[in-house]
Amino acid sequence: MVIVADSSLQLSYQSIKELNIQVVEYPLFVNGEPYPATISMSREEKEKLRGLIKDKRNKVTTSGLKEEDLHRVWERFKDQKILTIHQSARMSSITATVLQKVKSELPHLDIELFDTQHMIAAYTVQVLQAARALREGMAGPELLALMKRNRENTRHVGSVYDLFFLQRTGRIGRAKAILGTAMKIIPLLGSSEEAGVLKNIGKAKTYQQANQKFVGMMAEDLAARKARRVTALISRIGPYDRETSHLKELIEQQGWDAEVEILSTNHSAMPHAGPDFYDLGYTVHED
Amino acid sequence: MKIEAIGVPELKRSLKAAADYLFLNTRILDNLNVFPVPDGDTGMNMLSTLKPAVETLLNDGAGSCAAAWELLSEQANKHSRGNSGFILACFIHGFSQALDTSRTITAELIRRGFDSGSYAARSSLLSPVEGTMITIITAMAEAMAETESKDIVELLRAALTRGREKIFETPRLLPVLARAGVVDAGGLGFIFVVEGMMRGLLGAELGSEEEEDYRFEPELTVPESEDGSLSFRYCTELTVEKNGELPWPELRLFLEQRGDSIALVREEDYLKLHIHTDTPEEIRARMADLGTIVSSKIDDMAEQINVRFRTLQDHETLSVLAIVPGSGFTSIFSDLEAAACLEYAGSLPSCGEILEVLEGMESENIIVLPNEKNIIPAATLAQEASSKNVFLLPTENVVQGITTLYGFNEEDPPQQNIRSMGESIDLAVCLKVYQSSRDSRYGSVKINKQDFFILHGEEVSAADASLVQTVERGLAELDLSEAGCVSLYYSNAFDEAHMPQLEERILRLQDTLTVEFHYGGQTNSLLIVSVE
Repeated sequence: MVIVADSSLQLSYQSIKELNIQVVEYPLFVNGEPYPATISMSREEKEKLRGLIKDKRNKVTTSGLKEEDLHRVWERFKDQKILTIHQSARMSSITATVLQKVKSELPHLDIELFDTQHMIAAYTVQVLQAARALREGMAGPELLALMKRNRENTRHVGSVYDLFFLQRTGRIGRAKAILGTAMKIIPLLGSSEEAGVLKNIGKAKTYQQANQKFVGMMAEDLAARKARRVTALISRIGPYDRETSHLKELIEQQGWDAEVEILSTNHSAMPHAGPDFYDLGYTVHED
Repeated sequence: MKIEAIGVPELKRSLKAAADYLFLNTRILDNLNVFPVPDGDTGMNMLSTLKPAVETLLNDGAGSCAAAWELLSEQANKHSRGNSGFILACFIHGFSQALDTSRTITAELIRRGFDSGSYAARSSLLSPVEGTMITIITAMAEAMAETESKDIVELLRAALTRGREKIFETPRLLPVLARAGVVDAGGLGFIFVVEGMMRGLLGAELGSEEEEDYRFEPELTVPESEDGSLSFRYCTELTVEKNGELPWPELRLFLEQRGDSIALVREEDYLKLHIHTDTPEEIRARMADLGTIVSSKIDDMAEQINVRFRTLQDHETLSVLAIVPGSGFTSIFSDLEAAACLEYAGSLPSCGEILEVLEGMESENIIVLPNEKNIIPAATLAQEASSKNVFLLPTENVVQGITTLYGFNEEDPPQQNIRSMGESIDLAVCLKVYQSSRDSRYGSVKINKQDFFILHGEEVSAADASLVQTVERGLAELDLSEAGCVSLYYSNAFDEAHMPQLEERILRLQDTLTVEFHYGGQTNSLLIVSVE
């Protein structure tokens, strides 16, 4: 069995290799021209791309996964069961359509499509757990059951310092994008009751306040499920080492059985979340 | 129960009950208010005068009843608001003078205190009008003089009985009351204060009275010209430190030619004036000739409140009303998704004014942020009186108001918003920076004239001749290790040239902080500092 993911995965290139995850790249364009973005980009290369995005005169976009790329990757594993895991279909309906289309064109392959119903860090935390479980020998219905359970117990939250980009891609209205800008308020977004849809979960003036809010939500989720174990991934775009380290420490100080890792965001999330952003995806374990 | 003398603890308990009883019945007084101006704020004016004075007293370690009353008088004078608040403060001041240095208060001292207070209140008015608070005070003082008992409770009961009889005579004495079908609100407010004091002494239950008990069939035969409508526009109050003899009776003539509702306290070293006038600047200039103006307040009674609405989308079902002390805060709160801001300058908004804004808002579900401790009573009354679903979050300053909005999401149901906003209320610490207009003492801290000082809650946390030094010292008192940002909201009186030095000193305390300056436009404090 092999796991296929897409390049909105936030794991480092090294981790991706170690976990044997196959990645299909989202094409990226700068002012309409293809840009050579890959999951193997160094941090310096990611910073360069971030600089292009930060200049709001540039129009940096992604398109849906390309059919030929899916064909090529899936065909390579025609002798194995393919578990192909993707970010929320609600956030990229083109990709969802392409996935279904290519799957139907390859009836001889054993392909299991799995929609994580989340994005960025919350997508990644699910892929990570699936890959680890597979490596430890879990497979078939047991693995799928684990993934469904994890999906139910995963939450996504994030600090978006500039809502301009979410507004430009139509994910929030213009009025929302300018609220609080004079006061340099940090809008906080999080997963909603509707799968794959982000909503406003509050605002913060400082990263400490934002992180306290996130950890408070984790505490509520743990309490609601009478759980103590949590797997968390933090991904960041931009110079937010201090902020993300603070969040990691704050989670670790809670006395939970917590595994927390900080990741440098891969390119596919950048055009949508903007160049100043960090997010947290976590799964609460009921065991 | 017989009480022949009370000490400081009993006095404090009694005065707290007086303020609480007044609070419980504030709405009745506001609703009955038709004289001298039918602006529905008598209850709030009296409460705004008495409550902060009592709260200061409760936190003070006064060793004698005389010292306690003196502090009460000083604070009531400082917080006095409106015609009724001014007269109440005069009464308290007069009462204080009768106590001299007494450690305890006996029935005889209360008798003398009422006599002295009655004189002080009446003599402060240039043209006393019968049928008002002074009529009630005088009647209660007379009842005490006629009661020979040494029992304080019996004395207060006698005064209350007389006061409650006399209050129903006020419509006969003042035709405008008869036409409106009400008793005098200020006089009734004074009765409520004494009623509360007595219940406090006895440990009796406090409760609300019935407004209907003080209303009767309006006598419409009274000419409309006497209906107490607004004849002068500006309610003006000034305190002047005298620099010489008072030019009396020229000053009296000058004032009488320029307004009404004139009350003047003439002390050895200062004057305090209350007047309704159309020419407040002329009054101010004349008073400046007599000495240094240490405080002044000019309220436009016709357009006291400037309400600014920001139109929101039609589908919106939940809105926030923020009560803010300046135009800068209107922008800030609007930016944080408050649907409406009720902006005030100087005097605090009344229950009626808050209610008017609430009723004018499109939304049926409204969260109110009072953003000032002393507005909470009026906001509570407005909440009760409103026809809408009003949720009150008792924010005590604008900093709390701002942080509660971090938890607001108009798409969430009201209870969820109340919860998440409530969780955000303490995300920041609020410090207020003032400049003293005279030599004074705040608790154990001595503050020289022109010095700057910081209030952290009710406590002075720093005072110094230098603004920068004061802010630095005030912030040094806090644990800044977990703080991320210091925001300074400045008033018109703030000199922006201080900004670079303030920023430098704050960063010297904690170099990881972000320092921001925002225009607040508040009138009472020089700076409001938020540490979050």
